[in-house]
Parts: sequence; structure tokens; C-alpha cells
Amino acid sequence: MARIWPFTLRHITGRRAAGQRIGGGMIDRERPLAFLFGGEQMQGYAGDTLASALLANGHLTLGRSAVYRRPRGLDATVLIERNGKVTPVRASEQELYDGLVARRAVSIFPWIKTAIADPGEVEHVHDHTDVLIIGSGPKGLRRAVLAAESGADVILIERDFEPGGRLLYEAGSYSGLEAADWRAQMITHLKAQPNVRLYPRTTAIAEDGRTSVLLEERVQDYLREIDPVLPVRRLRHVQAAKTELETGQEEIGFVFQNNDVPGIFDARTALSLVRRYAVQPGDRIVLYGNDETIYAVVPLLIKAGVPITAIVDPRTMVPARCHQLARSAGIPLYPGHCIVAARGRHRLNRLILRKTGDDPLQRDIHLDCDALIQSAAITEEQPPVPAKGRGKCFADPEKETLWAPDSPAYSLLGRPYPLDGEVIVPAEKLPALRIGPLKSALERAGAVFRTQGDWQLATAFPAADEEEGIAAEREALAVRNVAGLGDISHLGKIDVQGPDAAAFLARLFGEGWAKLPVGRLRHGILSREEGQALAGVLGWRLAPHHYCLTTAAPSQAAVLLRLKEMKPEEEKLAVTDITDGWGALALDGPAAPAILAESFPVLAQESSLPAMGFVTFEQDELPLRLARLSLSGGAGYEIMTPAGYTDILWNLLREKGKSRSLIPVGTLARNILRIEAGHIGPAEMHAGVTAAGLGVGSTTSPGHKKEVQLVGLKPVSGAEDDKDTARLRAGMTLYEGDGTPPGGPGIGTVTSACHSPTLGHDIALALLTEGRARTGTLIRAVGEGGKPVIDVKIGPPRHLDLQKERADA
Amino acid sequence: MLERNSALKGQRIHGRFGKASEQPGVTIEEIREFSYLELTLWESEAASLRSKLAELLAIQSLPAPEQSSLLPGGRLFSLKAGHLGYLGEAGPADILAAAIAPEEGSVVPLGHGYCCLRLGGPKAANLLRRGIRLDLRDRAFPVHHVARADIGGIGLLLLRRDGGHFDLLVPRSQAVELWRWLTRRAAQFGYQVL
Repeated sequence: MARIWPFTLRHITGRRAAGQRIGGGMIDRERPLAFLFGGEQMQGYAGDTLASALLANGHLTLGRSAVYRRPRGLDATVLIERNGKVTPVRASEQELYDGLVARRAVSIFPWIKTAIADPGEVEHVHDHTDVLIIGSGPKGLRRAVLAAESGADVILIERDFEPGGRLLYEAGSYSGLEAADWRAQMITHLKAQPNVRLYPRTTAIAEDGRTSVLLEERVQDYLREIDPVLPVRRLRHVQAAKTELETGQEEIGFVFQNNDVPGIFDARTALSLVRRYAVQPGDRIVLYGNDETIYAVVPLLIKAGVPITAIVDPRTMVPARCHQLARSAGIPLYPGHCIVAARGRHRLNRLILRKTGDDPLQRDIHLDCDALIQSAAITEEQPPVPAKGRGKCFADPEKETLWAPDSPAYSLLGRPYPLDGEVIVPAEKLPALRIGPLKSALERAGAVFRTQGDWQLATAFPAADEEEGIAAEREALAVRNVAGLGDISHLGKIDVQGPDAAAFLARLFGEGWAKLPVGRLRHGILSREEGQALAGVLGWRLAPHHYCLTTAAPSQAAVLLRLKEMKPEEEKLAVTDITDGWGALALDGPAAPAILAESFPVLAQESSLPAMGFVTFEQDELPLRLARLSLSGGAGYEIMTPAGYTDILWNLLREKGKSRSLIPVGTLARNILRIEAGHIGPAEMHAGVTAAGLGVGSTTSPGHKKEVQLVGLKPVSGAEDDKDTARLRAGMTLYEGDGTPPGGPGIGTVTSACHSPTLGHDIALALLTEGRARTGTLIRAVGEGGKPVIDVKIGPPRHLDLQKERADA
Repeated sequence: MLERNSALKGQRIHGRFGKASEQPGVTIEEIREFSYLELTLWESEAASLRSKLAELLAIQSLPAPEQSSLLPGGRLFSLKAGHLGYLGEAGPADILAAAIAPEEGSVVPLGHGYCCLRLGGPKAANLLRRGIRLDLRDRAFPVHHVARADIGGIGLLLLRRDGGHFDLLVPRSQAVELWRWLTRRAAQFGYQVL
């Protein structure tokens, strides 16, 4: 046979030949749609996919494969441009719309669901149903109707935008009706059922356990204009008592060289192109199959006016009726032949046939063609395996898995249920941002807010052009000299009540807690199981069987969990988180007692409130708990009220404090006051430190020789670096001060540090091995990377002598 | 009487929003004044206390777990054995609180710790299905049913008030975040803030 040189003009332009519109189909010719592909203006119709419209415009090769960079046909992933965003989509799944803009993609792995990466466009929905049916072909529709009639809740999903599956292109009859009419009747019936939910454009993408299936619904990503009130996609988490797969079978083909060249179609795709989209897949079409399926395609193609060049059947014994069909249609039949190779750079242009039996004297037959429609059936008669030669043979063209001699002689052409893709589904998580009851009032007072842990907190109240840090120092100084009012509603609050409450808390914090009189407060350290400090806690004894514990906001969840873990089931004891139920304010400074007296006249006879004592009372219906305690170490009070009334309390104190220059104070200033006073905070709750090490008595900590202990630090010399970088900072490592160059793990860590406006220099709290025994000695604080190096003197945690301030209070 | 400050101050604006339609798919209302109590009955005292409370509240028996009983002015519900909740007006709450001695059980008033939202409209359950994993179909979550749930990590209490209304109790500090989620998701149905 004469060999035809492949690069004729016809073959070069062949990329744009074939694929013309034919009659019939389900497209709406009254609604032409303009679209752009790779910058080229084209036209399709409503009801087209991008793939069918491109083929109708002569484009068959739509991209390149990711691994071997081979040309890819209608199933290729292309990029859709919309609203400034680019989305990878399979061309065969993209509905055509007016104004669609698409282009070829480079290196897209089509089986990976990359489009789920943007959770902002995805809406999660939790569906429950009795029956989930995947696939709306004839079987799926029948199953849905039967299940619905039995009273079950039904979800029927379809990957396509039109339900119906093969009813959209096949020619059979159902219950005496044409396939298309039967389909329309069934869908109308199902849509009218209140217990049926029909989701088109929806794909089952993953299974989670036996009853849960994850569906991806394309809500808007096939549209030109995005409706902002709708999500682009939905992820439906379906809990179904029963899941039925009605997606048909896998489509398999034959293995031969270059069996992935564009222009090779499975029978379903080819029929769909012809009968649904009215597009002719080629001008010279070869059919290839080893059972009756491929012969059933013949009359459908002939009816649509699609030319068939030849039929190739590898069976040695082809039934007489097949011979008769080919003869009557005037189509050459090649029985006992197999295709050993396909040729064509960008699309199929020739097939090489060889007679089965492996006769070396047999000459190959070269068939000039531009499309191959194949349908393989697994039969006892094994199809021929590929011969060695030019070109790659694929066992799975989509995933580019190469065929190996020990593999079955079939290739996988279509997956009905793509659950084998890699799916990354980010769980929907709302920001864990908690807002206190005073947010609006603090905003009006000029607060700057920052997120600290889970809470949005007022860090400072800077004046115009004032830096936040400077404002914090000004506020801290004002508290030392006059008075400041801070919002501490974010403090963790835990209600513990019941006849066994006292004994329970005594087990955790020491006997003193059981003996604590009603109306008094007590500090404690809650320890971990292994005895190390977990959190600092303040206990309020409200009644003989009733305590309220407060703790720093970052420790609240851990404290609550530990208390619930430690709570014996059989004890008469209830532990409840009441953090959100109570607002709390801290009033500190020398003028605080006077402001308090003015604010709460009902307290006149309660003026003898002792330190670490509290009273519960009402003023003008406002329920209040007032405690005398201070984070600043000087005169101070904490006042609690039900959260919804916190603004009333805030306004009252600010009004009464106006004449005494009371100012609002943020969390930064309160941290400075805490460090000055040497109070422990969450930063000091390092693993390895015990309650005894923090200087708080605890029955759970026996203490030991090399104990890590809380100390105070102050710099004794200015560092050689500039002032800004030479500041003491939390996280610095502590080393011996004997001049040994810093290195190794060090002897301790700076846990909290600030510039004290009262003292005029930096101060810090640190956890240091045998810290108290080193009081008065010099050590070195070294920053990350070895700089800065600051000589510091060890002292007690309390930096200020606050005795006079307390006495005045 | 003191007015409770709304956790949704500055967020809740009355009117119609989202998809335009004749009727809103969802209505959202904040219930401003309510009492919410969490009651724990000590196991050894539970039987006698249950009878005592049933008699006091004039109901046949206390609700079973995940069920609620309608009271004049409120609703008593059970989340798990030995744990009751009350949501409603202050009067019955005071009666309940006074009826339980510390030797019998505990009473924790938590009304100020929560924001109560009432969802109605034909799409209310549909909206909730966008965040809540529970089966909210009528037969699985009927009227008077109550359950703990979460939306995007925010824990809440969900109560089916009647055929078309759900009450949500949301922690006060997270109410704004949940409100934003609700209104964003409800826009596709069209919603009205009452």
C-alpha cells in the first residue's frame, strides 16, 4: 500500500476541518451565543457545552496533557475567565453562555479538583435524605420515581446541566414512548414531588464513611454574571440512609499506539455530539468494536447524515447480521483486524490496521480518517495487544498511565463516578473572634482594637497623633497617679456550685479554698496532671455551695476543660462557663476609692471592704459584684455586672470619675501595671514551672531543688546598640553573667517585659532556674540571634514598692 | 426596668435585604428580653426533684432529653439526663430558681450570656442547613425539639418553636460573627430583619 506523507496541506489545516453542524440535536438554534476562545470570536447555541461549540467551530485540540505534554481533545481542562478570575474547567462540562471567554490551559491535572481551593466562593450545605441517587439516566429516573412513590425523601443528582443521561442521545423507547419524551415526562413528574430534590450540575466527589457523600454543585460558575447573593459552588454533605449509583458503566476502549490522539471518541461521547449537540465528529469516521454495540451506532449516525468510512472488528468470527448491516450501508468492514496505531500530531489523520493472528507476512492497512469511534467489550476472545513501534500506548489516557505488557488489553475511556480524585475540602470555620459587651462604648471613647487570642480588645485610647505604645504608658502613669477604668469583660468566668464544690476546689487549690469565708477572694494556681502550672485562678466564694472562678482570657478554655476532667461524675457539683454572661470593669488608682464611693452611695456602710473581699448588691436595679483587688498592686477594684448592663456601669463610673480625671485604660497599660506589680499572667504559665515556682502556695506542687522560679529583672547598663533594639523583650534567653559568650539553652527566659513609665526604665518578669537564690546577682538577657545583649539584675517580681499606695487606699 | 444592651448593636438593621421577592424567604428577629437558666439535678435527688418541678409547673412530667415542654411564658427543655434548660420570661425563671435548693441541684442564670435569634419564613430550615449538620427535616427535628449544634465552630442551642420558627441561642461574644454569617447566607432567599 502506498504510504501517504502525513504533512499534506489538508493535514496541517486539519486542526480546523471536521466538526460541522448537522441537523437535529437539542441545541436551541433560536438562541445563538457568542464566545471567545484563545482570543478568537466564535458562535455556538444555547444547550451547547464549550467543547461541542468548539468542535462545531473546528477546534478539537483544546490543550496539552500535564505529564507528556500531548495534545488533548474535548475533555481537556480549559481556563474560563470571569470577573477577573480564572477557573479551570473541563470543556465538556462547561455550559456555553453568551460572552464566555476561555483559553487553553497549561499543565492542569484534570482529575484534581483545583477549583475547590477558594473557600470564600463555596457554600456548605448539610442535606439528609432517605435515598441518594447518583445519575439521572433511565435507571436513575426510574429508581427516583419508585423511591419517591414509596414515601422516601429522594435526592437525585446529575453531573450534566440536563438530567437524563443517555436518554439525551439514544434512540430507544421506554414504556411505549420515545426516549426523549419519556425523559421529559419523568422529570416533570419528579419535579412535582415535594419529597424529591433534583440537583443538576452536581457531581459526587467523595465518600465519607458508609452514609455520607460529598457533592459539588456548580451554582454559578457556568454563568457569565455572578449574582453576589449566591455562592459560586456548593459543597453538599449528604447523609443518606441509602446511596444508589446509577451512573452507567465505565467506558473502555482498545490499546494501541497513540490511543490518546484527539479525534478518538468513545461511542457515548460520539453519539452525544451527534444527537444532542448536532455536531459531526469528523468527515471520515472509522468505527471500531468487538461486539454489537458498535454496530448499533451505525444506523444512528447514518440517520444523522454522518459519513462512516469503515468498520474494524477484531473478532475472527463476525456475525452475519453485522456483515449484512455494513454491506447494506455500503461501509467497508474489516473483520479479524485490529488497530495497531493511530497517526496524527494534533488530531487523528490515519489508522494502521493489522490482521489478527500475527502473520509477519501480512501487510498493514493504512486507513485515512479524521475520527475514530470505539467501543470495547470484555469478551473471552482477548483483543490483540499492542505491537512495538512508534508512539505511546496508554492504559488510562486521562491520567496518562502507560500500558504495560502484563496489563489488560483495554484502556479506560470514561469514569462514571469520579470518586477517585484528590479532594481537599476546607471545613467551614467562622472567625473565632469574640466581642465584649462594651465594644460600642469603648469605640466612642476612642479605643484602638486589636485581636488578642480569641478576643477583640481595646488596647489603648490614644489621643490625636499619639502612638499606641506612648498612649499605654500615659494611661499606666495616670493609674499610678490618679485613676483609670479598664474593660476586663473578657476574663474567663466559671461558675462552680453544689454541696461538693468546696471539697472539689480544695483538692485542686489547697485546703484554704474550703475554708474561704463567703465574700472573700483567693488566688490559686491550677496545675496540670504532672504538677506544672496551667493557669492562675481567682476564686470568689459567693455562698457556702457556690464559687465563681475568674482567670485570664487565654487560659479560660484550658481551665474549664481541666475542671470538667477533674470533676467526679458522682459528686453534687456543676461547672458552667459564664464568661459571656458577666461584664467586668477594673477601677484602679489612688482616686479609685473616692470614685467608687460617689458611684455607689448604697455602699456607704460597706466602706470597710477588706482587701481580697467583695460584696454583692444592687443599685437602681443594677446587680453588682464589687471586689477589692488590684492588678496594679495599688488601690483597685473589680466590678462585675450582667453583660447586657455593662455599658450602664461603664457610663456611671466614667460620669462620676470625670471630676477626678478618671481616664479609660486599655490592655497594654494594664499589662505594664501588672509587670510593675509583679503579678503573674498567662505568659508566666510555661511548661516546667510549678505553683511554688511562681510563688503561689499549692498542695499539688512539692517543689524541688533546681526549680524554675519567677523573678523580676531590670537592666543595669545601657547596651552598646541603639536604644530601640536594646530594650528588654519577652522571649529573650537568660545566661550566666560571668562573661561567658552566650550559647546553649540558657538558664531562663524573659516571659513579660515593658518600659515602666513610673520607674523610667525597662522591667521584666522571668522564669529562672533557682531564681530566688540568685536575687541581687547579674545575668545576661540575650535576644534572638545573639542581639541585643543586656546585663540585668535579678530582684523580686514586684518592681514597685506599693505599700504607701495600698495604705492610702 | 433596665434595658439590656443588645449584642448586635450596630449590626441589626430592620428591613428587607437580599434577593427581591414578594415574601422574604427568611425572617430574623432578635429577642431582646428573655431569661435563660441552666439547671443541673443531682443524681440522688433527681427523681424527687423532677416530680416536685412537674407539680410546680403543672406539667405531667419534665421533658425527655432533646425535648421541650411549653410553659406559660416559656419553655423547659432537657439536653441530657439530669440537665434542664429554661428559656422564656423572667417570672417562671424566678419560680424555678427559687424551687431548687442547693442540696437538690444547681441553677445558673445565663440570659445575659446569650443572644436569642428567632428565624422564621419558608426557607428558615434551608438556611440553617447551610451551617448545621443536624437532620432538620420535620420528622427528625419536630416541633419542641431542642439540640446543641454549631455553625462554623460557633456553638449554639437550637430549638424548634413551631412548624416555621427556630430559636437560636448564641454565645453573646460570638453573636456578631453568627449574625454576619446568617445574613450573608440568607441573602439568596431574601430576608427580613424584624
